[in-house]
Amino acid sequence: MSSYERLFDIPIGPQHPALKEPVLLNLKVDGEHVVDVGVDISYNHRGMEKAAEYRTYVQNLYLIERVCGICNIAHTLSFGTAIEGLHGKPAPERAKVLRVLAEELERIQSHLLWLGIAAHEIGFDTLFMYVWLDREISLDIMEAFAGNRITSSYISIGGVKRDMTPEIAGKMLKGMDKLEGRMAYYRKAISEERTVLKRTQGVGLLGAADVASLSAVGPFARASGVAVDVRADDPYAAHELVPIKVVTGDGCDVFTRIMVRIDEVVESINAIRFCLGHLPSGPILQRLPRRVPAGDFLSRVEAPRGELTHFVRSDGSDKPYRYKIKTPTFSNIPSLAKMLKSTGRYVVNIADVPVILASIDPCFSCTARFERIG
Amino acid sequence: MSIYREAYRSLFGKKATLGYPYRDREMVHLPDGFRGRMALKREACIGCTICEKDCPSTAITIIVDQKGKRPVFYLDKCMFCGQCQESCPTKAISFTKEFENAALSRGVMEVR
Amino acid sequence: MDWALGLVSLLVFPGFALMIALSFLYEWYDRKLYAGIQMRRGPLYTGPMGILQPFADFIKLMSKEDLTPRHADRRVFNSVPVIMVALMLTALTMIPVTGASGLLSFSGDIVFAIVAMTFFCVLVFLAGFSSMSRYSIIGAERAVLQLLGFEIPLMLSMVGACIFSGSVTISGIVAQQSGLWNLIGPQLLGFAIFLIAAQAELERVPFDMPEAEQEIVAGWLTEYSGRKLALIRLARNLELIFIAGLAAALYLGGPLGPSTDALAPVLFPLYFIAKTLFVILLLAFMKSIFARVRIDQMVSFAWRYLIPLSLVQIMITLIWRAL
Repeated sequence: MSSYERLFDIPIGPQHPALKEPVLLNLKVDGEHVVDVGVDISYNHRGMEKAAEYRTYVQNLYLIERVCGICNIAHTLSFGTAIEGLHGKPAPERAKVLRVLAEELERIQSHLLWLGIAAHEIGFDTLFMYVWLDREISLDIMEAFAGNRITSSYISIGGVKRDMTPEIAGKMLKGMDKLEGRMAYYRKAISEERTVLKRTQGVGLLGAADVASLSAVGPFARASGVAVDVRADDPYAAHELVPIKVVTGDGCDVFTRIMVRIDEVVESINAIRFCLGHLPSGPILQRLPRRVPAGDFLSRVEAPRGELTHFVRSDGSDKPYRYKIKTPTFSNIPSLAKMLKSTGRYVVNIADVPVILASIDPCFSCTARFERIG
Repeated sequence: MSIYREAYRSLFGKKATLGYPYRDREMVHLPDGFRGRMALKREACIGCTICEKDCPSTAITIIVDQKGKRPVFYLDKCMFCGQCQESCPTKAISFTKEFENAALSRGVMEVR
Repeated sequence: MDWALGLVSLLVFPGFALMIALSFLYEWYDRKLYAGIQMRRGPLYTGPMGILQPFADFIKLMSKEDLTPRHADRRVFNSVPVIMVALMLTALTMIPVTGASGLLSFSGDIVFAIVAMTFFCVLVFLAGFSSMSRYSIIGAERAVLQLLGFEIPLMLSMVGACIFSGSVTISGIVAQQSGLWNLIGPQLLGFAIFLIAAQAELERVPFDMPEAEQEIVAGWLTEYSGRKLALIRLARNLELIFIAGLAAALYLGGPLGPSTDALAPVLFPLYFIAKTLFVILLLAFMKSIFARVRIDQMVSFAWRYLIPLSLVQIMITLIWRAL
């Protein structure tokens, strides 16, 4: 391309106000239009998989929880399922339902967090503040339910740590009613606000064919009409019992992603109500031996951001031989790179980059598991 | 239009922020089961050292006092996961609601 | 002694000292309002209700390390903040505070006001371009692009006020409103256009693209730090008073209001403050209920809606006057 001198490099990251975590998006821009992008995600290699090999399974529970603060329950649930799978002894029924409950509660707070960030990325700080205030409802419930707001340490190997009491259930139902009203409000407010529509409709387009071929996951893929959801495709915990409607949209743009996530919060609210109504009685924890039988296990969980895969190989000792994590953000990065390139009539402005990046709900610190050498 | 109404209401309504460190201290609400500074029931502890082995952040060391082995908790390392409470066979470890544990010296941040 | 009185009124009241003090007060007020709309509390601990916070920020920035990028055009980069403050203080002498006319009043001072606002944008462009940073250059480009959008409606809305009062002096426009404010007359549309364009001039949401934090870090301000940043912030606060004072003078009858001859020196500045605070309330409300639009959307919005509307507004004014 002979006119390459006209292009200008704009690095977004690794430190940038739009990013909460380190990533480098090297944009080639022509005026305000993004022509090309290079994505580098290896800025925060934390060596957690290696660290897991030096810790016992009990200690690893808390290490794995800290892979991602926001999806801590998804990670511990996946870890717990894997270890129980190696033992061949699934968790008790009551624990399974409580796990689903905790997971859906986490999905609510994660999606609300995302909604706030999306509003912030398009410069709508008032909406950001309102959404995060409502997120407090879910966090307060989580605190009463599990003992902590974010890193809840709720799920343990073989079950869950705390039982549901009627007081907490009542508090939860009340909070869910309030949240449901607020979600209806946000749905209305966002689809009415002209400036939000202008900034999100037709932005970050990625069709269903591309989503499928780039194997995107989570609400991001569902907003392009691809109904991938581990909860429905490969039910784990008590998801066979809890009815879940897979929310999809066909707008393929950032606006649809907002709407899909809002609807998923409503679905999660319904799932929590169902769980509270259908809580089986029985123990919540079965003690498992510290030494785990030798073998491999792969567990899949639908984290708020999409499919989360944990793989564990045990050699029969009390420490894993190998632990491998694949986070949903990793699966969505090829789609991100594709969305950020202008092609034909689809134009990406510099102003759209933050919200397109936010629309995959990235979590780069959870994703960076490799080091680029040389 | 709904965001305008909300904005108007919030401007004259109650604010969400608590003036926590200097005022409104009594409004800080912690639920039961909150994991704050831990407490050890010395008479229940049998000195089995399981808590030390299970602690993910090595915040527990074992010392020997008149009654035998017992744990000491270092709050600067602790991440309040609650595994020691979980692992304790005699339920000697419990968590209080005390959450303002930051201090300028390490000695204060030990639970003996 | 005439010159001494003149010097005092230029430097102290209602001149530079008052304006700088008001600029801190208004920043505090703006932050409190913005925080209130978001259910936050805003500045809280510095002084009563945090009223000294902007001043504390200013002092803090003054004491910070002042960096100049190696590739920056030093002369332009260093002089822009000073020129910005000087420009705004000069422009503020046109704003009537104690009576119908400001410290300086001459035929065509409203043209000077427009020039000052445009020149501020040119300074923004110079600041961004001289820092030679990628983000600054994009911010500067956006500032100039935005100028294409909002300047014409801003001017046309002011022209409407001039036509209505048949005067090209701010004092003439203010004096003409001693009976009825322009806002209540045919200028309501003009006031709305003026506020929207002013929001762009002040670079506030929804038109803060030149310094969009999430996109280009701080836009044209990215490389500024320490004293220079403090001066730029001061200049922008002064610009806020300037715009609010101009809106008050053109549409809300300036500092004039019911009073007696003896009370006028006290009451008129208070009326001025009350009216400008009202304008800032509207601006803060506007800032908090919109998302930031894109630069292309802003320019097309200005040319598609604002400019035709301001022409319609001038037509209404002409018809009103003819009747």
